[in-house]
Amino acid sequence: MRIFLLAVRNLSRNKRRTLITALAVVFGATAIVFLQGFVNGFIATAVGNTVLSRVAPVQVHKKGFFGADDPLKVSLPQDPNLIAKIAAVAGVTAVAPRIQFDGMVSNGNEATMFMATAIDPSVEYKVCPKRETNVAEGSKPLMAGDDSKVVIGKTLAESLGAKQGSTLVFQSAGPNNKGTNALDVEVSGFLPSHFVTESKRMATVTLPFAQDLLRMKGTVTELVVGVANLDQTNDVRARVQAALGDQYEVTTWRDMDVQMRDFETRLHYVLLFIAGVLFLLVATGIVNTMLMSVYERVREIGTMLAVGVRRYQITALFLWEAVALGLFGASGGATIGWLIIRHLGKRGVLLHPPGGDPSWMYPHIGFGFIAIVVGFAVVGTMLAALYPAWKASRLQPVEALRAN
Amino acid sequence: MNSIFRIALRNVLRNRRRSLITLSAVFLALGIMVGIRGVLNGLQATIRESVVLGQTGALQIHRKGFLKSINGVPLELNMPSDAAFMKKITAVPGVKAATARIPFGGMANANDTTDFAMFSALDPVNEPLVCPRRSEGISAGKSLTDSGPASGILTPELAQKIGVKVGQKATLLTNDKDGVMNAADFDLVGAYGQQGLPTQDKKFGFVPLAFAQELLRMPGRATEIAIAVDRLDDVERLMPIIQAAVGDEYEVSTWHDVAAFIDDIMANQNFVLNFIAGIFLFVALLGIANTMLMSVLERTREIGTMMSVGVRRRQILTLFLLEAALLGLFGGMLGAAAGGSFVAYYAHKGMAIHFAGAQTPMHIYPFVSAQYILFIFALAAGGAALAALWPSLRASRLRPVEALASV
Repeated sequence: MRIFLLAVRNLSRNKRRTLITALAVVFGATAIVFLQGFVNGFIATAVGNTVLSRVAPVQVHKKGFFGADDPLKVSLPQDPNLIAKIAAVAGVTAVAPRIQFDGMVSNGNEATMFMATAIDPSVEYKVCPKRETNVAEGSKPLMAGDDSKVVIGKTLAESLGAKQGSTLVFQSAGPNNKGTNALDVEVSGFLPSHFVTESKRMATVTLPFAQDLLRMKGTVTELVVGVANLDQTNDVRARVQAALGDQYEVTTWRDMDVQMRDFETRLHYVLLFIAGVLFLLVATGIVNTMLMSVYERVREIGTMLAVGVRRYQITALFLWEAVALGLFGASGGATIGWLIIRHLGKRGVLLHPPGGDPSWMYPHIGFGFIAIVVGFAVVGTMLAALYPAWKASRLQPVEALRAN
Repeated sequence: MNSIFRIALRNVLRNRRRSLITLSAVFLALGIMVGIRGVLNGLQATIRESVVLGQTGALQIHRKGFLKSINGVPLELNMPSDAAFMKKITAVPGVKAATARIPFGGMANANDTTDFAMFSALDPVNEPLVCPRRSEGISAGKSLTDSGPASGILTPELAQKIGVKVGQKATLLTNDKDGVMNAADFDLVGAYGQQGLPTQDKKFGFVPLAFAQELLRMPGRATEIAIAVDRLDDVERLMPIIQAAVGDEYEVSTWHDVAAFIDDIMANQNFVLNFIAGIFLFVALLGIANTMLMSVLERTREIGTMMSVGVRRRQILTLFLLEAALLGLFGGMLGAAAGGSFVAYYAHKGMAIHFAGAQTPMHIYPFVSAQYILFIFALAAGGAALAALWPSLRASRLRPVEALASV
């Protein structure tokens, strides 16, 4: 403890230099905490925009659904027992049946492809709560009984000149080689265009409508499962798989939305890379300062050695100085970063995704991460000080005392 | 001036280890800036090329109002595609080629199975001149150019759904522009799988323009004309000229308008890169400020001596600023050399990036412009001098008597 106090006193001896070096540590820590907070918020928004509004955390399909010539043929019965079996699994909050299908939508003159999800509004919003709110301003989500209504991508609607209340014709080919079928549907709402490629194709209809159009009474293509805690998605997936047996294929949103998963890992690596570079940059500053400190204090070190301070204690003294520098610098920086993130998290940041509607993002940061940053900073500054500290301890007392 | 420069250089070399450590920070920051810029340049060029040379062409002409409902692909907003009309466009200097297209929605049928899909009718002769990269997407079979008049290329998903293989026959059904149904058989000659970037549309196909014109009962007409130019940077200049050549009832747009999200993506990427580079540079420059401050403190007596033999305060200031600038410049040069070699190596070898959901990796060829390297030098030298401003000012304001008396 005495040696730590001595180290702190040594640091405060040359306040200006300590301050500049600490500034680098402070800035590095602030930048990392800030970036991580931003990335957290970004991922949460992206996950919210996809997983909780569209993909759902866990999906159950009949085995063979993926890669099937016609996925509609590999369907599940809309069976209350099956749903009850999944709902009974620990960690599952709700189960909702769906059909994913595509076809042609037309306004009489123009026609284009759509990709639709048929939902049961009475349970769907328990699994994907954001689907209920993720509609364009001024429009309403589908409710139970809206069996001839559609919520349609804004870009798609604009292309077809469809307004609220307009009638469109949905045509689709069902699974049973009976040719195609067409049904009228009334536009009741619009999906915002977070991603322009989605907004120009997406539509949401009710399950009874789709079963009628596709001639698939009593069957669905997937059951989506809500989880109590998104972080435990993988565990819930495994438990649902175990409960259902291998006739079913249980997946998570990471399997379904590979682009989202890719995006998540890529951001993670980018951040790690930035942290690594910052770490090195700050370390060079520390090495420089500590070396300087050793040269300035050659006589002092000589004196210490002459009065019987051991070489390892000299090493320890310099290492402690580095630890103090890293600890104070990183704590200060992390606190600043945390304050910025907390402020932005309360206020929110408006994101403008390419070609899409803006959406709010709320940066946030966990204390675990802050602890890791401070820990790394302390270890890092210590590593950087290793060489200067070793040099100091190697000095010969006689020569050191004679130096000016 | 020359002698101050030489003294500055000698001072930098005096404490080699310290200079080296400071240099390494600048080197690292700038090397990484150059490296990332190069990779990003390559990525953006590849994305731009795959869009412009693989899908949109550099410029497009439609009837007025078509773009507003582009996803609905209206057939009634059509225009001539005959040689006389095309000649008007290709006659504009700077235009390399033009090709007529009809995007339309329809149904593919085979084995009693029908499915809906989007189709694009392409001119087998002119399309490869405008979008040469499109043929790279053909994953099996051959292109329309090498096939008969009634041929078609479908995505694997669509072909699988209706159960046809390359070499077999299928039927294309669609409504003509008056809403009357028509159908025609075609030979499936190839499969098309988007390369590089993933796409949302899994079900679409290509047929020859003449085939579609007959099917849609609109002979000699098209709804879209895509244009290739000699220099891609010229599109903004060419747009009004082409507009004047074809007349007011048409609208000419550049690939920036047709694929607006590409520009947005690039702007976002550049912003993030600049932000991160700014953080790196700031930390590296803090190191320079630190080094210069130490240098001033160490050399207090030396500064006092210089002043007492008549060196002016301005010259002291210049000396220290020059020392910092030299540190920055050396670091910048080394960094640019390292980053540049990294970029040059991969520019030669190519870098494969795999996008999730795409069938094949995207090959990018990093590059950096000479301007960017010069900019890096200026930034490093200027930033270093700026970081050293305060220590240098301190040095230039020392009082000779006190400075000489200090230890």
